[in-house]
Amino acid sequence: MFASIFSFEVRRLVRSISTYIYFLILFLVGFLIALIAGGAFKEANMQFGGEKVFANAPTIVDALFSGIDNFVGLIIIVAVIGNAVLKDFSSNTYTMIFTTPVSKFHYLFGRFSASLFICLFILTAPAFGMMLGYATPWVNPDRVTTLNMASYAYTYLQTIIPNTIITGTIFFAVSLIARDIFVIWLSLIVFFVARGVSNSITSTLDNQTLAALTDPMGNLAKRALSKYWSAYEDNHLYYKLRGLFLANRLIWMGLSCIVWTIGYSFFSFTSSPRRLAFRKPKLADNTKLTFVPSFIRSSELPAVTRSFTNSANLKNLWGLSVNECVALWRNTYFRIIMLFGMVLLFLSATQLGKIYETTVFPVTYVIIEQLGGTFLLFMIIVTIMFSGELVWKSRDFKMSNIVDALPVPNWVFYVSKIAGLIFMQVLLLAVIMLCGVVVQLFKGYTHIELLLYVKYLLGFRLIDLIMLAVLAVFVQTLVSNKYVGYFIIVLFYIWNTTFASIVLKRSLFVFSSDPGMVYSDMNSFGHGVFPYYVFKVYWGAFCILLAVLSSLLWARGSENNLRLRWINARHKANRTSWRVATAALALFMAAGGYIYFNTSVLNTYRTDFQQEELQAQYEKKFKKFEHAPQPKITDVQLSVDIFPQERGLHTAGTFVLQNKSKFAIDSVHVLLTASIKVNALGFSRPAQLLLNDSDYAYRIYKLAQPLQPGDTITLSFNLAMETKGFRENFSGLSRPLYNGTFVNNQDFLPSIGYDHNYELADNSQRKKHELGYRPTANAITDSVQYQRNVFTHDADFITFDATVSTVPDQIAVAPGYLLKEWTDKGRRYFHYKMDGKILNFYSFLSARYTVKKEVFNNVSLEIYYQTGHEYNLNRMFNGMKKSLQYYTAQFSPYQHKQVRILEFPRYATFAQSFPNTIPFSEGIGFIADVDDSSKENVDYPFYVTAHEVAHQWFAHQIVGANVEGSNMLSESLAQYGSIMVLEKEYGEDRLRKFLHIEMDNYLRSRANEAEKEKPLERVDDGQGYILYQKGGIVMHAMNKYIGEDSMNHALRRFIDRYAFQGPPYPTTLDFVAALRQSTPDSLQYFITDAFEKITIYDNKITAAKLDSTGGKYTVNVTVDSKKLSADSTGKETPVASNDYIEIGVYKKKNAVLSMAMYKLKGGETKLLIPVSERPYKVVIDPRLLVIDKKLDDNEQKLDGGSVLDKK
Amino acid sequence: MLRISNLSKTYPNGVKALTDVTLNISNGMFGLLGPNGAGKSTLMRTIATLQDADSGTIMFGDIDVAKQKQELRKVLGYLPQEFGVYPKVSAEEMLHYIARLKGVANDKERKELVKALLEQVNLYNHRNKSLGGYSGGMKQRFGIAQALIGNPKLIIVDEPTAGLDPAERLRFNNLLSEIGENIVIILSTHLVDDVSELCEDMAIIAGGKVVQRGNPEDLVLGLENKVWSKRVGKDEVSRYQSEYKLILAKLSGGSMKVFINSDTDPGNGFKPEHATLEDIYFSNIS
Repeated sequence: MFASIFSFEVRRLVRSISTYIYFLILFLVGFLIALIAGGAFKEANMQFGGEKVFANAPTIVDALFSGIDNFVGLIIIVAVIGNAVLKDFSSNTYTMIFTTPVSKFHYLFGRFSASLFICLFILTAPAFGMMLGYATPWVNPDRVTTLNMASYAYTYLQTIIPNTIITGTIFFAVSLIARDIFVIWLSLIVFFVARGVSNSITSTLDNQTLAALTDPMGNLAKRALSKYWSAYEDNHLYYKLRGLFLANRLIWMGLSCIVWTIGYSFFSFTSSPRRLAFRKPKLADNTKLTFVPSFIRSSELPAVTRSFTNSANLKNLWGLSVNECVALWRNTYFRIIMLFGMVLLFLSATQLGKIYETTVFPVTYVIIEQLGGTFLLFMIIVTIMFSGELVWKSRDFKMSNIVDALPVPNWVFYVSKIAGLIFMQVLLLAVIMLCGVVVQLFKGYTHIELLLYVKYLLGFRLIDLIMLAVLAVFVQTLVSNKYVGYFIIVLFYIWNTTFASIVLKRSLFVFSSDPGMVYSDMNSFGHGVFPYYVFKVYWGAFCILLAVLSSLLWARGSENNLRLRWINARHKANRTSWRVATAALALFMAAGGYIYFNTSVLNTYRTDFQQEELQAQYEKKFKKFEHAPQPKITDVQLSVDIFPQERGLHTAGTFVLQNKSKFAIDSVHVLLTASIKVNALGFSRPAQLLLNDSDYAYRIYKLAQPLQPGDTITLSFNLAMETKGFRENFSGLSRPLYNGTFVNNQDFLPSIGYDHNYELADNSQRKKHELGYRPTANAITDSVQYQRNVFTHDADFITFDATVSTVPDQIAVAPGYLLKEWTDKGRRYFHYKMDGKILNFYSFLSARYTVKKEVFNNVSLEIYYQTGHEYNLNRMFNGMKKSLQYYTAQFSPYQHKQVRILEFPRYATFAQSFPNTIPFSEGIGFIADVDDSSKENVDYPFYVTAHEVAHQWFAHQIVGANVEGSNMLSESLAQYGSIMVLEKEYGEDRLRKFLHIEMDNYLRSRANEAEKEKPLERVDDGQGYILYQKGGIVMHAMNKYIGEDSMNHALRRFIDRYAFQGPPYPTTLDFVAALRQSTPDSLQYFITDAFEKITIYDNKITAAKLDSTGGKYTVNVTVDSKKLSADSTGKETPVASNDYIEIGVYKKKNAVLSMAMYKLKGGETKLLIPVSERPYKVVIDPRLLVIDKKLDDNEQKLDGGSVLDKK
Repeated sequence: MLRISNLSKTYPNGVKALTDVTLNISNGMFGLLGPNGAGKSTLMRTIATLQDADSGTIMFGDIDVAKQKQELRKVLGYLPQEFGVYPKVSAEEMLHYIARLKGVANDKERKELVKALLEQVNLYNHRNKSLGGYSGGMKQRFGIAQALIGNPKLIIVDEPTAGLDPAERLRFNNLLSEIGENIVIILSTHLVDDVSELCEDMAIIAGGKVVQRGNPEDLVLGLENKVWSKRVGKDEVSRYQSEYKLILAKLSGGSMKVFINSDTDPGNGFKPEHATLEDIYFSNIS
């Protein structure tokens, strides 16, 4: 019985064309993704897993293959398996089949296994598509390695098959319980969204195991296995079915058995399809049978006036629209969706803007973005689903026979459907608003900006949703089957949101696109509004075109032949519609032209590839001048006028240039930004403009008289930065803003001499543009580069004076001390002068600031902030105080009399230290909601402040030479300073949380290293994970190993020797030497390991027992220590060790009983640690002094003690 | 006056639904008789603007149906062969909805009209019930009520009695017989009785073609004295079929009775029978 059901069903599916269409779609998606990953599109840079990982490495194949099947494939699984039984209801064959003597189990299991079998066949398609894609000559041969069937096989066997069984079972069970195709699709949404939300909630470090087990697709389990894998491992290893991954597979296979059984028990042959089950018993017709003349005569019906004018149509339209809305409102499914959505929103509200696992205050825009972001996919799917429901409603309910023959023009029907959809979308957006306000109030936050909700949701979010609705209805109008329509829309949507911009590049070709828009409390929607709406007018016009076509081609009656509908559409009666279409087309073209004019005529548009090419040409043209001796800037006098409303900036000023070389200089190279307008530029001595390359704004002036060594010359200039029109993509900083301008000198002022930093740095890009290999930084031994510092190639230390002007309601700030403030001709002027010498790196800010000041040890502390962002000012002040105190006491005096923190819009999220000036993004810290009662929270406003203040020492006092490693002298040392301040303020326990996050971050990032991981001593500028994360951990550990006094003594000596010194600048070699001086011989190995090598440990406690005989407690512990040395590709080899590792015994969770260093050889060591009280746990390396690959095996609870007692 | 000229329609799957159909239909009740699949519904839907023919024209007065669909819809009342219901919508709400779409914009007038219609089709007591709960006969009465809205000049009733029990059919036909006056009413059906009870003019359609046309009584008269019957064994039917012009063979009281068409007495035990419309029907479609 089972066999015949199975084979009948398989044969039916094999004959079905849809099986092959599904296969083809998955095949094509696999093919396209393989091409993109393999770099076939020269201008598309989409890399999965770092540059050194091949596009068809086992891990990447796994991610792509299972990714395609888990998303697109899942839709197909639902379509095939969800329908396995349901089709008997929809085609009414159930009455026949359920009355045969087939057993329920044979019937259900036969149907299920047959459709599962076919699904498993269909789901192999991406593998073949990918194999073909990687084999095409179009892919970049450097990105692809030889075909490895095993990687596809592993993925198929370990991921695809179990996932198909799991998801197939779930949706099969849903189909048995619900017996309604709509509910099945609904449950698919629930599944998608719930998966996303649960993944985001369980994404914290502590929840990794939980997340790995709860993800039904096994992705997080695989990620837990491989998250620290190096490129080498990514290229060579397969996921092994063990540990968490195996547990995950077993749990979910087990669960799916249960789910299957539940579904099975819910189903019986007496079941009927759900929607029909609502049918009530029929009313009996009790009218008499004898002939009774009725009054049915049309002539005798009450006379009515009928009108078919446009106003009547509009009235009908209103009526119909209200009808659609009411129907939606009454729709049970819609109500379920709304409820589910609310639950979802509340769940996601627990994760507000986490940084360092610490949330932010529920400020309105954060709420909108967080909830709106979570809800977006949901709203998109609901829009797509209901567009199909509404378009097909009259046909699905067989009302079209009546309704379509009514004298109502198509457009009235069409618009009423769109109105219904918009009504639904507005309701969903209202749900966001409602939940948002509830969340805000619930969290005790009362500054609720209702107007912002309305603007954000209705002014921006709704537009895209409406366009999607128009598109979806258009597709549904054309197709002859609702589900085909859904499939087309979903495919198009995936194409449009992920691939279109890569393949087609210009947003003009990406449906419903816009340049992007970022809301900022400081700058509101700012300059993003106008271009946003221009793009929306452009796409709006296109949508009107779609709308007219939809209404002209509206399917009425049983005619779904598109050709006949097209003939009908062309009838004279539709002239008005065609006029509207023509007007829309004209508007579409005009808006498109206007966009092109703005993005490509007023501004320059370059694809990534063109931008790279520009940089490559720069190097090819000008590299020869790199070593031409150039004078250095020694004094800067500026007058900067900021025009926030026009987004312009004028500057006039002078640079004093001095020849610090040993050679006479006959020509000066002046570099500007190409978009800067030069009103005047000249020297204090006669000079001739020898070369003026406008593409690069590269000028060479030949001096009539060469500049002799030691001589000076003055460069004076008058420049203008103007903002014309808008660009293809939203850009925030580095140009004046309506409120919150933050520009630095590199954005608009000249620099002197060839700038190495403008070269293409990425070596794979260099190859693409026919440039040779370039080391990522100058060699540490390149003593020529000791003459320049790592930040500014054209100056050492300078004197600085600037007058900044802005509009009257804003405060303008530059480095230095305010000498004078005045107003003249409606503008507000500030004159700043720096007393000491600073780096040639300074910023200008202007905004409607509120200022709060405090004085601490004769230093004026100031915070310039946006009103409303007062939350963390005290934490920041505290950070400034504690760090000034620590650094002044431990390192050297503070060189300025003032520290200023200035808020800037959240277009970028960083803080940066300029001389006595710290611009600080509103996106980090200002709205952080640090919970002091929680041991888990990191007070990052405090920590970031401490870090930036530390830069006043490490960067602005000490600056390294222009060679590899030098950034460590600013970033890792600043990190050290802030970690020490954080530890003093919050104690070791809470620091541990911070270090744990940092260590995880380091280990994950090094796995994705694109070039090669360098030792800390030679770290590159771009290797933030080494500079910050590893640097901080290592410096903190040094402090613990050699003691705070020795450590800070070394730093003091180093600062004393190099602070404010011009060339030659120090390197990390000098720093490490200074450290070695303060380090005993027994610990010199640690410096070698930490700074000169890449060293990683795998420490764990393998066994721990408590011996409490005679009232004395002894911890009997076996520890296993393994030291690994990694090469630059991430390949690790075990090395012999005999190192100091700390072991702590704790009374309670955090109370220390014993904490000591043990010299451990590699491998297992048994230790006896006597303690005075009953201990709770033993931990190896509790303070995270060494980098450990796996931290969760570093501690064991000691609960064996009580058993021993009884013996 | 409805003039259908040379109407043809072939479906994408190759089924020829209509082949060169030409019919002129004047005011009064017109019966369109044919077996299932003859093309009746295709013709009805094409007249009702729900479908397009491949060739040929339909003129209703001055209205060219294919090109002026909107104009025809203004004078059309249509009761489709099959129609469903929206969930949670009552008969009264639905009538209001349709009336509004038929251009009855004035709220007060519409209210009166709906009330009158509900009373006339005897559904007033059930007006608040969901249409989903109506019996077949009640649903068809609702269907006729909605078709009558807006004073239609052309009413198309497509297989209204299919699926009704005999009593319901009787009631419905009673109702239908009261409508016809100075308008064109087309009733399509596969039941001979419907036509003989209600129509003065009719056509028989089979295989997409009009095979017979005329007044039902005239048609029957034309066959008078030409129908003969005989009881035969079941195994003999095929022999009779080859030897005579067989109209139909049907069971009668447990044994087989064959009806043949013959201008003269065929002898051989055949007895004369009164001609009926059923004989016309079967002799045209066999």
